[in-house]
Amino acid sequence: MVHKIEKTMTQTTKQERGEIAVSIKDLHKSYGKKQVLKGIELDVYRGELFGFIGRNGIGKSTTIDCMIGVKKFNSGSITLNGHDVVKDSLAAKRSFGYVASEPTCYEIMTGYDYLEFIASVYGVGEKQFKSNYEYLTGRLSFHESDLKLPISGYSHGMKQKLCLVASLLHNPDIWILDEPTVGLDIMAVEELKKMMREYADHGKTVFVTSHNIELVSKLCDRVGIVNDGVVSALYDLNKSPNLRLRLARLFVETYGG
Amino acid sequence: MLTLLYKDFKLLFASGKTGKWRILSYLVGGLLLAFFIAVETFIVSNVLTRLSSYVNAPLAFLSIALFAVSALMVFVCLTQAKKLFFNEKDASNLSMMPVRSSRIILSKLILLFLMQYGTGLMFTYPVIASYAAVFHRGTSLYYLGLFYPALAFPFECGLALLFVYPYKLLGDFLKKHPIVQFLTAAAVIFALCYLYSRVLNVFVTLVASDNFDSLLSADNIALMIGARNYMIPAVWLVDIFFLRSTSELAVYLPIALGILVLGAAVCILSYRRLRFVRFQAHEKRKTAHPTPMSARRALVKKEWILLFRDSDNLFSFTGLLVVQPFLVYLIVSSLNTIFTSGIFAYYVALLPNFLPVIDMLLVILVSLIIAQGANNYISGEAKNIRLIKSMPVSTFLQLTVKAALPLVFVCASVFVTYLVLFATGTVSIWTALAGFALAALIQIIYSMISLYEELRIRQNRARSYFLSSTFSYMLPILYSAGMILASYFGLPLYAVYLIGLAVILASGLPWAIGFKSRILRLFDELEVVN
Repeated sequence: MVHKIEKTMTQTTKQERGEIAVSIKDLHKSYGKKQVLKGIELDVYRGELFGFIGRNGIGKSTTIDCMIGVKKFNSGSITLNGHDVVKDSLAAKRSFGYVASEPTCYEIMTGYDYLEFIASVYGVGEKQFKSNYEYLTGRLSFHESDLKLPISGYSHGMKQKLCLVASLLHNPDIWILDEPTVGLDIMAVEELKKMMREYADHGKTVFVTSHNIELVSKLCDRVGIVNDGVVSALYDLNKSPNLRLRLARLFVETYGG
Repeated sequence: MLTLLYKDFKLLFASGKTGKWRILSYLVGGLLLAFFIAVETFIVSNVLTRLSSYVNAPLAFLSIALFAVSALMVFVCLTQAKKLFFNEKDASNLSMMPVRSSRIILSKLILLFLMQYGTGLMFTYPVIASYAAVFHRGTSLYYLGLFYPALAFPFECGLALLFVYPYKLLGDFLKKHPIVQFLTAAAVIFALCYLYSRVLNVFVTLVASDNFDSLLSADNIALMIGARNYMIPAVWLVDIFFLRSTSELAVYLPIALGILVLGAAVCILSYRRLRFVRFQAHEKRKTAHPTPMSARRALVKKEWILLFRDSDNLFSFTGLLVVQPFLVYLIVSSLNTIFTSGIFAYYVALLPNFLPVIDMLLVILVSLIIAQGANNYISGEAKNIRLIKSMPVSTFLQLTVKAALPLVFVCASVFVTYLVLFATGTVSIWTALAGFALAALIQIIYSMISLYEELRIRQNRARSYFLSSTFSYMLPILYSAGMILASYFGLPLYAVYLIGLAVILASGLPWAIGFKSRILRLFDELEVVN
């Protein structure tokens, strides 16, 4: 995957990096009478590693669910790679790879079956599939012998690794991760952090939610903090190294702590 | 100890139901149980009354009946022991706790005893009480009958515990080999159908001859008395309880306790070994190198895997697909025999279309029951709804493939069923053709209604089966009743077929109009619970 990206991204220009990959405008979402999202406004640029953080139950996963088409929203708009998620849903869905906080896969399938299924629905060619899955399974230390086993026999960490591999098989322009480090061993977490950074550095967009402030502060280019249904604070961590060190404090202060 | 007992009880009997649904299910279960006990008592009392004039026949019948109960109890104990002793999650949870294995095993054995006693009492006490009533054996037998399941327990449970580990290994082997699993399930279902056919033959003979005593020939009685000696352990227990034989007790007790000790030892050794060993997924499948294919083909392959690799579907769908032709042939041919003999033949002659209509109705009902086993299109996906909603594949294509695959298999099974019925001369060619067309149409509309009901599931609540049940059971039954009645007034058979087609098409039309937009809208509104 990285080789393919390296080939294509040599042509990446500064203008392309400035393009908006994810655009959320005035997003409103309620569950019955309870208003969860009250006007989320957010632009994420190409080549950016964006952290989306907030307290439990504040609406981070709901925002992601609206982005990926899993939930309908009441009003507003979301575009992914220029495609509206409602009006041009199939094109929007092709542009991202998604990893849920809880591994989501068909446990009755083997690892091979599942990866083959994902590659097929995303229209990945045979050559690309072979090179991508060999590269990704190697990086995440996923043994070939494990791929022949039914997913129901995998540990939580193995399932999460499988979902990570599946999410990148089609080289998506946007990689969306919801609490991706849960259940992974330390080596896998370190490898994932490297992959996220490399992915963004090669011109792709990474959108990650996490409760791990340390991970977010070290890794992300920009961070958005959600409070009371809106993005109440946006920090560009590249502007000042101090911000990275103070992010935890800023997070607490956002909630009046 | 009580905590362990309670935990194991929940392990075996936890249901997802809450509140009023749980109370309702208990009430219905209680009513069904009471009905079963009443029927069992009635049948046994009648049989014993008729056998009372034959020497040794009542005790022989008792032995056979209680042997059948023992066999059932051994199987029940086997399945419960497997769940109790070889539950991976339970074993791994307990392996971290400061509880001795002996305590855990004792609690499980106590629970097994309580369940076996309760279940055994339900089946054996009506038999013993019926005997006491018919032969005026006084009150002592009514009290002694309460101890029968307790005395039978060491033998039945010991046998079950002896085989529980091999049973577990067999289950694990079958899980690794889905084709073998499928063939085994089909063989088991065939065997059950064969047994059913033997019982049905007896019933048909009884009804046709209208005389129970036709079964009580000298040969049959002698066979029953001779078979008694092989009905272990029932033959010993019957002698102990009904003949008060202490010599049989002296023979039975050591054997039963010995089997229990042996079975418990084997089970305990296996449990202790597995409790502290991580359950490994040793299942390896030979898979060809994965090759991406078209999205449509991938979706079909996915649905195929979900249908045929899931062992939960074996006895509710996939296995039944294979045996449907055989099973339906048995039912239809038996019913045809009943309705063309004795007093029934007179009434059926007044209703010329009765038999063909009933035959078609049976095929429709059986195929709908089978189809019901695979119509959990959305609820079966569980949390994978997130996956299907975020995939870049047309929703309509996904839902069509989901509903179409089981539909195709059910229709194929119905086709083979009618082929068998026609080839055996049970139905005419026109009944076969019209019956297949009606059944296939009903299946298509039933799939559409089921998909609609599934897409209306919200917030993990239970699906409402009202529409699909009304359509699938009420409509065919009402149509058949109407057509049978109409034949009394001279309605020809071809008109029955045409009216059937018209009725089903008319009932399906409201579903077909705007179906695509309706299901797409419902799918859009379907939300995943975080």
